[in-house]
Parts: sequence; C-alpha cells; structure tokens
Amino acid sequence: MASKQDELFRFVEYSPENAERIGYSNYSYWRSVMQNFLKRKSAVFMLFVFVGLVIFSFIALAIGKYDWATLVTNTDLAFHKPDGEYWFGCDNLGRDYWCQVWYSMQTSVKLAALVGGGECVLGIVIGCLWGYVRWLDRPITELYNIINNVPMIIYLTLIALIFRGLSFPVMCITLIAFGWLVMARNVRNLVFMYRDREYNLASRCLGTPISRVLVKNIFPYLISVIVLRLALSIPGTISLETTLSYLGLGLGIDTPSLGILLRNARNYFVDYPYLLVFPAVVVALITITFYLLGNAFSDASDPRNHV
Amino acid sequence: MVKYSITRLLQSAVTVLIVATIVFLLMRALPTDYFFTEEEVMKLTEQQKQDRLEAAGLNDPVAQQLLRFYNELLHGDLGKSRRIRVDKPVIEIIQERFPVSMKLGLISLGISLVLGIALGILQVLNKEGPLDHLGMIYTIFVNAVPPLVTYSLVLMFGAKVLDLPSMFSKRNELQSSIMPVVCLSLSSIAHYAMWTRRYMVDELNKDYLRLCRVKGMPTKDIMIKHVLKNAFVPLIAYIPASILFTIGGSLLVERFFGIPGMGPLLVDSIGRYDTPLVQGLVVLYASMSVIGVFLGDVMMTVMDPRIKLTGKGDTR
Amino acid sequence: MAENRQPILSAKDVEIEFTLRGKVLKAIRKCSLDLYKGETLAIVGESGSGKSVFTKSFLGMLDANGSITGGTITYDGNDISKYKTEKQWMAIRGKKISMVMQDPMTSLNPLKKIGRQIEESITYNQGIKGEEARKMAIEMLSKVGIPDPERRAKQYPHEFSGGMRQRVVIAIAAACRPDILICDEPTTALDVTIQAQILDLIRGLQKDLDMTVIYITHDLGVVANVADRVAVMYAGQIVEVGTVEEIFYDAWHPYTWALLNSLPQLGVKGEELPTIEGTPPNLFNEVHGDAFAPRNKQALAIDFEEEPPFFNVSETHIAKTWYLDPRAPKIEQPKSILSLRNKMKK
Repeated sequence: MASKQDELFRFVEYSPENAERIGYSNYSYWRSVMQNFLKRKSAVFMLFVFVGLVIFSFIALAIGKYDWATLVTNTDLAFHKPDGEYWFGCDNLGRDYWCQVWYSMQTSVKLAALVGGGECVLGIVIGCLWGYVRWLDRPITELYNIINNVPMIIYLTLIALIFRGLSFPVMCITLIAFGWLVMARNVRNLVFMYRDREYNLASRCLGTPISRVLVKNIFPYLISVIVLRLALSIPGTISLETTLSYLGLGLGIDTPSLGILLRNARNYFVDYPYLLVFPAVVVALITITFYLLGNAFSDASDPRNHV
Repeated sequence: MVKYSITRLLQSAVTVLIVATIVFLLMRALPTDYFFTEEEVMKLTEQQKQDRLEAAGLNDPVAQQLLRFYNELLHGDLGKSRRIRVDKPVIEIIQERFPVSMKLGLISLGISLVLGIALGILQVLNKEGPLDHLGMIYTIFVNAVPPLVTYSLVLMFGAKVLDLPSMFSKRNELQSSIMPVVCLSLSSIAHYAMWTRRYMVDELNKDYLRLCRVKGMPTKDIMIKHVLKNAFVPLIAYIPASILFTIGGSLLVERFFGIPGMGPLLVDSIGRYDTPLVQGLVVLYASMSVIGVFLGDVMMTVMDPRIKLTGKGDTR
Repeated sequence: MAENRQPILSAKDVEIEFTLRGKVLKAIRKCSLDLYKGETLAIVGESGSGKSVFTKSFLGMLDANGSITGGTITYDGNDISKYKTEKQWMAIRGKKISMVMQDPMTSLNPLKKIGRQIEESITYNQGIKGEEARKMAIEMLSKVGIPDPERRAKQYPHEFSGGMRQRVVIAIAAACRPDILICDEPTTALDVTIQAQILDLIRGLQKDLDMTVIYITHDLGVVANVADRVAVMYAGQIVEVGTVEEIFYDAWHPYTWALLNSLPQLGVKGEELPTIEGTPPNLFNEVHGDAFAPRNKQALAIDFEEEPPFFNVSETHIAKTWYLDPRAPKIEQPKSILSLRNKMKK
C-alpha cells in the first residue's frame, strides 16, 4: 500500500477542460415543465377527472333516455324524485333533469372554452404589442382605462337589452370583448418587466434577433401567467354566465344554461334539494378541477420553479 | 401633501366626468322603445311616443343634452327619476335604498376582516399543515365555484337545517339578514385570508427577520411584532374603498334574497330607460371608486413611513 | 499565541448538507476550526466556498432545507450541532454568539424605528426594558459613531445612508453583548472610503466589550487589516489555518498561493493580472481527493486519488496539502509569495 501511494507523488499534466467541468445537465424548458407537472400526482389526477367529466357529459346525453330537443312539459311528472326512469328526477315542469343538467354543463363548458380561447388570443396579441411597441403604450392604456372605468354591468345590461336575450355567439363575443382586458394587462406588465432586463439587452447587443429573445427568454414567463389567467378565467366565465343568466341578462331561455336552471329552481330547491344538488355537484367538480389544474400547470411552467 | 391631494381630487373629478359622459352616450345607444312600458309600446301611436320623447328632452341633439346634463350636475342636481319612481328626485331614491345595502355590507365587511385575517394568520402559522390545507380548500371552493351555486347551497342549508327565512324582509330583519350577510362574506373571507397569508409569507422571507432571529427573538414574538405589523400595511389600503363600496350593495345577493337595496337599482333603471337615475348612479359609483382609491393611498402614506418622504421629494 | 489555550468554540469534522429539489448538496465536507478567546479570526474563500454556511451553523441559522449531518461543534461544554429546538438556540443566539450580516440595506425592518430595533436587542438579551433600554439604545448609537443619537433613534432605516445603516446593524449585534461576534462580509456592500471606518469601529467595540470576532471575507485587504489568525476555505473545507503573518508570508496550500497571487497590489505594471483558471467543483457530486487539484497547474497524481490530511508547518500553522508530505517532490513556494514578504515590508 505504501509503495503504491508513494509512486503517486509525481506531477501530472494540467488540463483546462477538467478545471472548467461543472457537470450541469442540459436544460430544456418544456421537458422541465412536463417533469414538474407530472411530479404532482394530484395535478395528474385532476387532469383525468376533468377530461373524464367532459367526455362523460357527451356520453351522458347519449345514454340519457330523453333528448333535450324533445322535452315536453308534463305537470304530472313535476318534482318526480330521481329513480330508475328519470335518473336525476324531473324539474318543476316535469321535464327530465338528467339531460337538462348535462346539456347545461356542456353549454357552459363550451362557452367558457371559447371565451377563454378568445380572451387568450386577443389578450396576448394586444398585451404583447402594448408592452413591446413603445409608441402604442399610451393609446392602448387610455383605451383600457376608458373601458375599465365604466362598471362592466352597464355594458352587459345594455348589450342584453339591445339584443333582447343573447344567443350563444353574441354572448361569446361579448364576454371575450371584456375578458381580454385582464389578460392583456398581465401580459403587458410582464413584457414590460422582462423586456429591458439586462440579459435581454445583452442578447440584443450580441445580435440575437428579437423573435428569438421573445420566444426563448420572455415567453416562458408569460406562459405561467397566461395559464394562471386561463385557470381563473374558465371558472370565472362559467360563474359570470351563471350570474347573468340568473339575472336575465344572459343567454335566452331557449339555450339551456346553469343560470337558467338555477333560476327556475330557486323557489323549489329548499323543498326539493335534488334540484340543486345535482347541478351544483357537477359544476363544482368541473370548476374546481380546472382551477386546480390550471394552478398546478402554472406553477410547473414558471421557470423559477425549475431545477 | 395638501397640494398633492388637491391635484389628485381634481384628476378624479375629471375621471368621474368622463365616465358619466360615456355612460350618457351609451344610454343614447339604446333603442328608444325602452322608454315606454310594454303596454305603452303597444298602445301609443307613433306621434304620441314622439311627443313624450320630446317632452323628456330626448329628441334634442346629443350635444345639447350633454351640456344640459353638465349644467345640472354642476348645480348638484341629479334630476328626477322617470320610471322607477316617477318624478321622485334621484337623490331621494338613493337615500331611501342605500341604508339597507350599507348596513348589510358593513356587517359583512367587519366579519370578513376579522375571520379572514384570523384564518390567514392561522394558515401561515400552520403552514403546509392540515389547517393550512383546509383554508386552501375553502378558498378554492369559494373562488372556483360560481357564486350563485354557493349562495344556493347556503340558502338550502340555512332554510332546511337552520330554518332561516329565505327572503329578506324588514319585519324580521335580524333573522332574514343572516343568510345574506353570510353570502356576502364568503368570498371576502377567502380573499382576505389569501392576501394575509401571501403577505405574511412574503414578509417571512425578508432579510431583516434573520437579524431578528440572530439577536435572539423567539419566533412567536417575531411573528407578532414584526411580520404581522408589516403585513397589515398593504391590507389597510383597501379598507376605505371597501367601506365605500358597501353603499353600492351586491347585485346578485340582493336579487337572490329579494333585498330592497341599491344593487338591482342600476340594472333596473337601465332596463327602464330611466336616464336620470342611471346617470345619477354612475356618477355616484364612479365618485366612490376614485375617492376610495384616493383614501387608500392616503392611508398608505400614513402607515408606511417610506412613502411619505419620497412623495415629498426627499432623497435617500 | 494559541499554544496552550483551550478554544472557546471548537468545530470538528462538521458536515452540512442541503436538499435541493430532490438532490443533495454537500456544502461543508469535514470542516474543522478552533476559535480562541479574544482573537480576531478571518475566514477567507471564494463565493460559494461555504464560509457563511459554516458560521451560520454556529447559530442554528441554516435554511430550512439544510442540516448538520456530521461532526461536532463544541461551545461552552455543549455540542451545539445537535441542538434542535428553538429554546436551546435561544440560549446561544444574541447572548453568546451574534452576527452582523452582509447587506445593511435589507437587514433592518423598514417600518420600525431604529431605536426600537436596538431596544429589542437589549430587552431580549439583557432583560432590560422600558426607559432604561431606550437610554442604552441611544448610548449604543453614539458608541457606533452616529451623531445626534437622540434624534436619530426616532428615525426609520430609509433615512440612513448605507454606511450608517451598517453601524446600526453593528449596534444591534453588539447590544446583545455576545461572547462571539460573527461579521459576514460587513464591508462588501459599502464604499471603500467607509470600509476602513467600519473595521475600526468593530475593532474598538471588540476591545470595549471583550468580544471574540470572526470575519468572513473574500477581501485579503480586510484580512491584512484586522486578523490575528486566518483560515482559508475552499469547496466546503478549511484547507489552511495560521497566523496572519504565516499565511501571508509562508503559505503552503496551492489555493492560498493562487489567492495571494491574484492580489492586484502585487501585480507588475504592464503584465497580465494572474487569475485562478477554472471553477470550484460542483458539490452535488462527490469530490475525490483534493478538491483544488483540477485547477492546480502543478498537481500531484495523488491529489486526484486521496484527500490530504492536515500537516503541521508550525505549532500555529497547519495546511491540508500533499506538498507537505515527506514523500512529495521538492516544491518551493512560488517566487511571488517569497517576494510578497519583501513587497509588504516596503
């Protein structure tokens, strides 16, 4: 042992590469996002629940005994308790509740998805322009202030009155027209903040094209905020639609929606709780899972949480 | 400080004016049929309708109407309601209705602050523990699920289990106020709890806390004497605005429980083309909003010594 | 100076690990150090060598994801490395060991008056409250050289400049009347002109209050100014300890040579300034042999295989390098080190 060690007392070549070796792995943004997301088992669970619910809503209507379009009022069946024939019972006018609930849910989710998507696109585009192009800052800020200062309820009431009961597309457009405000402001604030960070300035000095700076440096921060906004926006749209329909300012009576459902049932569900419980559970599941899902994805896509 | 306040108030006044003008113009965008009740629409002839519109001054050019509006406003005259209560001064209508909304709102605000902040503190002290998670679940539920659904659940539970009246009535004011106040408070509690928790966690990461630990302060004292005090400051800024907003009442809650407050007034008056009332309400709400923000800023300067001096231009 | 005395604080083979997102970082690897009463010890090293972490462990101030996984720290007869509860640390923090931190800008509560913050220090460590505490706080302020202390005590941190804020932080730390004061890069965030004043201040307080002081710094100029003994730290280990003269004029560890070499004052006008090539090792991975070996242009083969033990250069000077093994080839200290003695004497 001693001799083996002794012979090691000699000088060796110096290697600059070894001196610099640190040993950190390659970093890929999307891979980290996925890793981070999948690590949270609860988030993956929520994903399954949410997708499951949406798919089930289609199945539910298919396997339901009655079709929405052919519902007839039948006062004999009013307040029929849930049983083998009518899985969710009947409402106050004797119509099958099962298909009403699932149909309303579909409407709400469809609306929320479209509005969410529209808000996203409009909000991101305007937000980026707002934050990045300097001379657009003033005019868009003024526009934002003007729209923002007037209570939204006024706009909504006016539109509801002008159109006398909104149809699905009109409702969509209206909600998108007000939804982009928050998204655009969030995006703009972020772009503003990161645009002039030193490392971005350095990149630009070194000749990196602006598109690359945007996509590789600024965008990852945006994603987290955008997803978070979406996570709040979709349950928010469902809430808003429900409230408006309840107040008579939303979708017309022909289009089934959660708000209309609850408005009809408001006077009765104290005595017949199932009228409230079924839609409440379904909606609660959808909104809560989406909210949690969005939050989890937003955390996962925040570059500061990456290894 | 005084000069700054005056500038702010003037700016606010301009904002209020702009908002009122926009609403004024928007109202003119409604089809004039809304001026009349359904009966009248069918019964009156075209000429009669025109006559009535003329009498109400609605056929004049918009610019003229606008100037008239400004003039009246400067004289503090908000006009008389046309449809909600015919010929009753707008101010009186507001005076009649806002006490109900404000009373319920203030009670709810008080409860929300106490419970919300307490919950937030408990959550932070028990961070990642069962209490923290319970609080999070509550917050998530209240934020994600449509308020209408939560109010309905409250109603069902209150009416069935606790046997509370499901509609508000002045005769049984105490009992019938319980559920509305609960509904009003639900989301505020979650809101304050979340903010308290967030601010406290932020403060907990600050450097000066390390110095406190190093100089031998036990954690409990640090939490109360340093963290809590500091975390309160941003919260305080919102309180004046919140108090003012109680005047407005909650549209959904008041409709849901049939409360004769300020909430539904705006929507109803728009629907009935009661322009003076609409304009009056808008001026009121816009003023409340800007005054609330202003008072909040004032509170911030009072509570945070850094802001006061920088406002004066002191360099440090 | 350190011959037969017993150290007041003795750390032996301390190991500290941090868990970061599932991986384990071994920040301190078998680190040993002795501290003697009344002396001024400087711990020198690069950023990331573990100087702060090591001293924070004396106060139980490690971040939540860090823990002491080996070794002992003996103070006052107790092994404080095993302390877990806050109650145990309350007996140490402030009263016995106190700390001055690096950044005066963020070390003070912006919403509390300065006087109050010093009073807290006095109340919690000396049990004095109320009017008397207030008077002592004002006394402390004047001791650290703040003019008009009565008026100043009622002011807020943002009304003080950086240098004055650091004095306040020192006042708070000193008001605890500790036995040991740890100063973590107290002058790094300050102007050069203020640095000397702060060092003088600490020196004065040390004499006044009979404290033992540990300086953490990467600035050899500060070391030359204040230290009695110096400990050199690299990659989570102490690699050389000795009196300040021994380290400056008779260093034996190749890292110490590299450090001394890179002092700008020693540079020859017109020549390129020497630097240490490469980067410190990644402590997420295990380190084999001497941690400095990859960056050492004159490394021995055994440096890559086995970790060297401490060798005695004198009674007060030890170094952890295979160069001092009798089997090592004849190595001379670099000429620059030898000429350092002359340059310094000039």
